[in-house]
Amino acid sequence: MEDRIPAKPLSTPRVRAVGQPRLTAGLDKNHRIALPRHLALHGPLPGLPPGALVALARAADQRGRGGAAFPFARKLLAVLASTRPGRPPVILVNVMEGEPGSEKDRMLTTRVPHLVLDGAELAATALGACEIVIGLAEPSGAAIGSVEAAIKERHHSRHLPRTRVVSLPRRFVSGESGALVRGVNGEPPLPPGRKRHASDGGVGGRPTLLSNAETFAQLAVLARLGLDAYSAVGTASEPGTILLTVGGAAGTFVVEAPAGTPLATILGAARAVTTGPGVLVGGYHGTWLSPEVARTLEVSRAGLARARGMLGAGVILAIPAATCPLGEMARVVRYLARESSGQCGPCWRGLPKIAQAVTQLASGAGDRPSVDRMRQSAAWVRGRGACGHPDGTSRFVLSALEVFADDIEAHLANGTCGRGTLGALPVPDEDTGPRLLVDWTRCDRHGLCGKVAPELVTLDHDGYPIIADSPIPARLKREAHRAVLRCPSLALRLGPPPHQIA
Amino acid sequence: MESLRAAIAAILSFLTFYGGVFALVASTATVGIGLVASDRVIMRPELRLAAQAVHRALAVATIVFLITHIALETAAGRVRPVDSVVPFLAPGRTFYIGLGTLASDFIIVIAVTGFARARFTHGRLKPRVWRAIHAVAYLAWPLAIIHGLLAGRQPKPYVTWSYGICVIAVVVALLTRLAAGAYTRRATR
Repeated sequence: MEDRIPAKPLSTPRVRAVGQPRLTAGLDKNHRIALPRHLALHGPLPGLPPGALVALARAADQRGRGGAAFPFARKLLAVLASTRPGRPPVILVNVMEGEPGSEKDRMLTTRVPHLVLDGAELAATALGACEIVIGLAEPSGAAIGSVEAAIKERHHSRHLPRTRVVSLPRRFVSGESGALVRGVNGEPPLPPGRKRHASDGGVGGRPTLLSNAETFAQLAVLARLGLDAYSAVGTASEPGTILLTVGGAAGTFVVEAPAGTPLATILGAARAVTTGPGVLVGGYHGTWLSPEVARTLEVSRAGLARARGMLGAGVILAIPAATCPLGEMARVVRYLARESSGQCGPCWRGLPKIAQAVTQLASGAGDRPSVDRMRQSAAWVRGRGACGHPDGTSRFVLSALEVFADDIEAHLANGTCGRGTLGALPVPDEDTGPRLLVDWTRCDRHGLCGKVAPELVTLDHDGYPIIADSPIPARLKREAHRAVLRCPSLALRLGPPPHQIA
Repeated sequence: MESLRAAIAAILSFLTFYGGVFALVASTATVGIGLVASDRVIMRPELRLAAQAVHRALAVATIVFLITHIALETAAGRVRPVDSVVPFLAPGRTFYIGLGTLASDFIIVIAVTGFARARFTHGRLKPRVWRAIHAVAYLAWPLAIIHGLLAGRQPKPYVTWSYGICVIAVVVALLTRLAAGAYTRRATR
C-alpha cells in the first residue's frame, strides 16, 4: 500500500543525500511515504506549546526556505502578536515553486507529504489555527493527489484543523507571499502593490503563518529530534540539512545535504559537471559564481554571503563547458521578461530591454555601449517593483556579466565565443514562434527597419541590419510585421528559424 | 426631407463632375510621393517612412475617388457596367474611355498587391513579381492622364500643361532613381 498514488510526476527528480538523510529518509526504498511508514520512520509528532516552538525555532535559527530566509521564530511571534480572541490564525504552506529550476518542494509534497503536514500541524496546534491551506501551482504532477490523499489518511487517525489544497496557475512571481495570499483569497495571484505582512492579514484577512513546504518539513524534523540532535549536522550558525535542487548534465536531482557541505560534493552527488564556465546558485533570481569561487564554496547562508550570493530557494544549476553561457543567459532573461506580471512599469519596460540587449550580445549584434546600457538597466530596475522579480533578475544579470566577462569580450570582438546554445538551463514555454529573417541577397541597407523596429534591429557600420536569432517577443510582433511591410527591398520576412526548415 | 434630397443630389453632381479629376490628382500625387519615398540620396530613413505613409494614404484616396468616378459615370448612363472592367467597348470616345478602363484595371491590381505586400516576402510569391506589378503604375498613370485630358470635357490650358509638368518631373525622377540604383548596386545582382 506504499505506492497508492499513481506516480505521474511532472518530472521526476532523483533524490540523493549527502550524509544521513532526514527529510528524504526512506525515499531510497519508497516512492511515497504513506502514514504508517512515515510514523515508523520518524516516530509520533510531539505537541509543542507556542513558547517552546518559538524558542526551538529561534535556537536552531530556522529560516524560510522559499528564498527570503526570513527567521521563522519572528514569523511565529508576529502571528501570535496579531492573533485576537475569536480570530484564530491560518497556516499557509507555500508549494508554488514558480522557479523553473526548483523541484524540492513539489518533490517533498509528492513523496513525503506527511512531513510537510506534520510541520503545518505543529504550527497550527501551537498557534491555535483554524485552518491549514496548501498552496500549489498547476500543473503540479502528482503533488495534489498525494497531499490530498495524505490529508485523508491523517483525518482517520487524529484531529487536524480543516485542511484544504488550493491550486493556482504557475507563474514565476505567484510564489511571492503576497501573491499567494491573494490567489488563495480568490484574487489574481499577483504581488500586491502595497505590502502587508501575512501575519497582519492574510487568508480571509486572518493572521497567517505563511512559509514554504521545506520550512514546515524541517520544523517537523526539528521538533522530533530536539535541538541537540538536530544540530549534530550542519554548521554552528546554521544547524541541520538543506534541501537543494541541482541541475546539471545528468538531469535534475534533489539533494539533501548538511549546511556547510562543499558545493563540489553536492555537484558530485548530482553527477553535475564542475568544469563549466559558471555555476548558478539561488535559481533565476540568484547569483552566478565563477568556477574558482564555486570550487571552494561551502553551501550555507554564510558561505554564499561570503561569495556575495544567496541560496534563495536552493536551486543550483551547473552549465556544461560546451554551451554558450551568454546564449543560456539570454534564454533565461527572455523568460524572466515574459514572466513580469506587467503591474510595475520599471520591470515591465526594463526587463525586455535587458533581454533584448543580452539576446543581441549572444547573437553577435552587441556592442560595448549596449552592454553598458544593459548593466545600467539591470542596476536601475532594482528595488522598483511590488515583488523581488526586478531585483532577482538584476542580480542574475549583473553577476552573469561579471562571471562571463571573457565570453562577453569574445562576443564583442568576434560575434561569438564559438559555442552554440545547448539549452542547458530549464526554461518553460520557450516559444519557437516566428523570427524576423533577412534575405541577404535582397537587402540593400535602406535602414528603414532600424527605425521601424529599433528594439529588434540594430544597424551595423555599413548600415546592414543585425537581427538576433530569437523568437519575437509578443509585444514586438506589430513592430516586426511593420518592418516587413516597410522594407523597400522586400528583404525582410517572418518565418521559422532556418534550422527548423526540413 | 426635400432639402436633404437636394443636398445629396448636389453632392452627387459635384462628384460626377470632379470625381475623375480628384482620382487623377490623387494618383499623380501617389506616383510622385512614391518616387520621393524611394530616394535615398536626400531622404533620411525617417523622412522615407513618412513619405511611405503619405504614399499609402494617397493611394487609398485614389482608389476611393476612382471607384466613385466609375460608379457615378455608370449611374449617369455615359458608360455601361461592363465598360468599368473591359476596355475599348464603350460607346462614344471608345479609345480614350478604354484607356481609362485599362488604367483603372492596372491601378486596382497594383492596390490589391500593395495591400498584400507582405505575402510576397515568403512562400511561392517572389519579391520580384511584386516589384514588376508595382512598376506597372508608371504605365497606368500616363494612360490615366491621357484618358483624363481626352475622354471627357475640354480641359483648361493650365490643366493640360500642369499634367505635362508632372509627367516630365516623374520621368526625370524615375531616370534619376534608375541611375542612382545602377550606381549603388552591387556587382553580383
